[in-house]
Amino acid sequence: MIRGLRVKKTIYALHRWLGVISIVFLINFSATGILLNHAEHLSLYESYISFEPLLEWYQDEAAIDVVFFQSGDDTALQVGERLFINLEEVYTSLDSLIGFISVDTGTPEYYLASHQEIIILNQERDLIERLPASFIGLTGIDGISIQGADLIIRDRDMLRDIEGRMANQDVNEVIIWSAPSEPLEADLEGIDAVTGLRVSWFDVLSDLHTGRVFLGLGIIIQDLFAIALIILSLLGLYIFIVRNRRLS
Amino acid sequence: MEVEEFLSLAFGDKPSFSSVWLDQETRDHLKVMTGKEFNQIRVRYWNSESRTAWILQEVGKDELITVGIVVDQGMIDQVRVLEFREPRGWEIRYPFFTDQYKGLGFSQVVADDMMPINGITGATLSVDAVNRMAKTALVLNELVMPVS
Repeated sequence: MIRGLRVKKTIYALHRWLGVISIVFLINFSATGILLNHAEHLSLYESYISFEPLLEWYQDEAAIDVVFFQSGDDTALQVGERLFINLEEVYTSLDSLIGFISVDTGTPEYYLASHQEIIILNQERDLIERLPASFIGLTGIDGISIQGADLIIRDRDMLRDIEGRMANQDVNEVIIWSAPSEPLEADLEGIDAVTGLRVSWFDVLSDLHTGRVFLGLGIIIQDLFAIALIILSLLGLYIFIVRNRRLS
Repeated sequence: MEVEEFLSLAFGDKPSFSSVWLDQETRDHLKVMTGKEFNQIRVRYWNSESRTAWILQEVGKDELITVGIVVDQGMIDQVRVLEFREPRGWEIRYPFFTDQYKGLGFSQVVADDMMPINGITGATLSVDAVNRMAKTALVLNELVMPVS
């Protein structure tokens, strides 16, 4: 008899506390669930968050370096290890992009430089040639530029052209070296599409709903809450049956 | 070893370079020969009389290995590892390994498919990379300087 009372007390206490603890989960789960159910009507796919700390948090989590270059009408974009020319992906690997030049002498070519090498791509973005700095007689690559029709490459000490010939060293002072720039307004949408830096409300709410907003830990917490909710329901059912039996 | 040094050793006076454009057929042939996609469509080389020098790059395990290969009259004369960035497999830089390629010809590579090269324990991927580059150099040499 006493033992039965103890079990009943424990069940009641467990039910009460699980109910209290689950409040946060239930409110989050229900509120985000309702909003997600009406995502289209509420335009959650097209609405983007502008809350800077949250955006930065997403960016930090993504941990993607983005570098953008403009040369004439052409653009080069490196997002982490992915490379894009005019926002179309290039399937050629390159270490950190430090320069981009597009030339059009009848057949357009793109020159992309890292500190170790230059890669030359054709208009279809196929790899024409991969030129290590040592091919050009340089110890590394610090910058590329275009001077007339010639591509000029520099390391710490000297300038050379793409054929490895010494270039006029005096131009170093006046030449404009290819450098990363801020993307134009017109390019932003396309860049966001490939970088994923634009975060919609739908994504945020989905992450809140599933717990992914706190990455792996969030999913575990959400799982624990869900298990607590199942136990809470079963305990509630048990209490309901016991009370009904007593009343009858 | 620097490129300049390699070319000086190969030719004495460094010749000017030429470029060979590779069509899809040649690239397919290279893929069959080496077992790996060759996605570059222009390759730079240096030549003087019957000798050609090729500087090729291949990924060993994760990093690029740069190798200079001199082909004389359709046969490999020299193989030099110019840059090696992998943490393992650096033994391929030593002459006991690179000298094995000397005298290897296009016909041998095509006929046997397998290179008669002794590998190095712990440097399998690097050895494979050098094998691929040697085959590539011989195929490209055949393209620019067919041995009659």
